[in-house]
Amino acid sequence: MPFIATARRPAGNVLITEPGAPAQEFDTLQCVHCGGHWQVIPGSGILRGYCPRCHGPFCGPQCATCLPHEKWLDQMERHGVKLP
Amino acid sequence: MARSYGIQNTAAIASASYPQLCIFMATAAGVRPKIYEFLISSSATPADNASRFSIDRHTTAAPTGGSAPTIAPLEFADPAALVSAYQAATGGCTMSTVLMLVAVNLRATFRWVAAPTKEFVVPNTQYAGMGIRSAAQTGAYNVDSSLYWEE
Repeated sequence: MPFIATARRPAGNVLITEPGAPAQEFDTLQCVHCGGHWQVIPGSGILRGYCPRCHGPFCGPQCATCLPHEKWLDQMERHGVKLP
Repeated sequence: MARSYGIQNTAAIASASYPQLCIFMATAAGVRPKIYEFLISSSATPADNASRFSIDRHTTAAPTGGSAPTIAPLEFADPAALVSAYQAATGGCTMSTVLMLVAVNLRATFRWVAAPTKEFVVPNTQYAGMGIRSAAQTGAYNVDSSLYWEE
């Protein structure tokens, strides 16, 4: 079974099984700002980033502004909206 | 200790714009549900079709047009879940951030599991929710999905 070990500290794991094909397994990482997950594809060219304040990866330019996920959850609970 | 619950749905995709299977806060119940696992598969006759699935947040209002599946506690002695569940929505909620995007062949079974503390978190806000949506399908077919969370 091919296992694409792509992250030293993965945030999730995916297993895909399909008849007539070998099972696939790969890691996901989680955005420290929006909480989203993505498949790690080394060399894909997809722009990701690392937030030095949150000490973790973020999913792309749309999440580059530092708003820690925990803080975003707090803001949602207090105001019901995502603040900039 | 957090309690774990699960829901399942087996049906054709009701709407590409609304979640096929989701959980949401009918009221702010004092918990932050955390989705730690979901599965996508199909019981349809095997064929080369595919669907693009996403895990989306939704807000503003409760989903409508479908029905509420039975929420099963994974530990049978646990009380009823504080969060609400919905399947085959065709309206109501406002879709928000896409948190994960995958394309799955009809023949394949897809399973995602979060590492501890890396779950998808739903805020403790009325009508905040999250679920599996099929944004596109190459042909109409039955999708079987399961969603597990702790609260």
